[in-house]
Amino acid sequence: MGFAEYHEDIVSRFNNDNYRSLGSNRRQEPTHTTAKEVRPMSRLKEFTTQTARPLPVILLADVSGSMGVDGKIQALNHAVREMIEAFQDEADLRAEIHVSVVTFGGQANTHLPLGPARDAAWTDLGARGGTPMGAAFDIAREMVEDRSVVSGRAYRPTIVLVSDGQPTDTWQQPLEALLGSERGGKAVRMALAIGADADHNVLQAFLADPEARVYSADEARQIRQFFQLVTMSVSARSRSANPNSAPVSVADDGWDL
Amino acid sequence: MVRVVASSVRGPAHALDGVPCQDAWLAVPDSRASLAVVCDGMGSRSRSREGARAATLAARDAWRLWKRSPAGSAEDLVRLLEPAWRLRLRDVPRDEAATTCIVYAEDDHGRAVYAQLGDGLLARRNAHGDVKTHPSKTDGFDLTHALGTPHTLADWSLAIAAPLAQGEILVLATDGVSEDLEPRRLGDLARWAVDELGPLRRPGVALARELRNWPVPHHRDDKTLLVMWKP
Repeated sequence: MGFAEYHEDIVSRFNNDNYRSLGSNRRQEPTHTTAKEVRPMSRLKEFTTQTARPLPVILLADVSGSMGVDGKIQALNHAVREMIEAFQDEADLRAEIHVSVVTFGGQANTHLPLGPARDAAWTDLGARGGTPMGAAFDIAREMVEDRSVVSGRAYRPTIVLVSDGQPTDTWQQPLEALLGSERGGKAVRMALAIGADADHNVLQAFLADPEARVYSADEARQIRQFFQLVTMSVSARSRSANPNSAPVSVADDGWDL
Repeated sequence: MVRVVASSVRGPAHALDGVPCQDAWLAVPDSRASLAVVCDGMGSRSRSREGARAATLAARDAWRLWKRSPAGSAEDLVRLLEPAWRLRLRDVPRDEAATTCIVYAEDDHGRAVYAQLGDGLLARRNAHGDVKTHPSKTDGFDLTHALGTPHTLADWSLAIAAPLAQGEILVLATDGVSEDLEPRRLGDLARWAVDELGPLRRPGVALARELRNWPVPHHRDDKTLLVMWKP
């Protein structure tokens, strides 16, 4: 007999007869009916939300002009599409994975608004302009802090930063604001540096953890491998007993990033 | 007269793993001074079932002493509860028995205390149907505080209130329930428990059946719901 059942029995006696209240000595006539007890009830549906708790994944993707060379933008498009499809195929999850893609190339935009991965319709990204990473941090912060977008039921988001260059705007203050925000600072963060020109210091500052690893992709195919790693990490977390707990470790030795 | 309907049920995740329910609750419905407690043992800790059970008993230990005085503060109740929990645990390591704790405690002097450490729900519906939810100090993405994890008195969300009045309903729930509730329907949930479960011969059993058939997709947590009211 479990603990709860033990107390349940006590309270059942309170409710039943002369133990109805410790302050009342009068026996009450039972008001129950047999019909009510055998009637199947499903009333809780009226008081609960009908969707699983979301686990947001926000991708901050560098789509500056330099991503247009060496097949990088094509590899990124392919990898993100695969990741979303993998999320759509996931079953038996504790959480419903939601995805958003924020791009920064010339200007920062929300390419894919945050919503269930199963409903996400992917359109390929193009590469152009500078690298306004700071503006992308601002969008991410506003998204995570907006409770109409990321509800109070949501699990900790994963924010993924992918870049092949140096920011061309002021990024320090927006990054500080993101990391210092009530919810943004608690997000799980992952970062990928593409090519030799990527600013590892900025990416490491984004992770804000000296022990966290900035992944590096020297070739376009490794972009895909990184996103497979992201997919595994998110999926493992969404299946875990507590998706809010520390990210589930996934073996990345085989990715050779 | 004070009435209570409450149940804890094991969530699908623990059922799958063969782990027992790690929630616990305790209620002392008394027309002079009532007590209601729900605790949610942290799933990642091996002894959290014992931690949750010990916390409900520790709350009762603390309340029995605290309610005697008209001068006891909400902080005093917590100051009594925390060592009582550690003593109740005996040789169980505290960090392996971590648990949230939500307490509604009335004293014998016309006051009540709300005390909440960690996530979950403590709400009250008055006779006019207005619902007030006690704010928890759990911040974004419920990285929750708990007995057995590093915390201070300031991490408890405390308030003094009036004891339950006639027609009022108190709702306590662990996060397995509270995270899936529609905030606007809290009052209706309370009334449902009172009107439909209250008259049953074994309302706790009926509530447990409802909790086991939780209608939200992918739910996996243990669930505890406690409803206390003054008819």
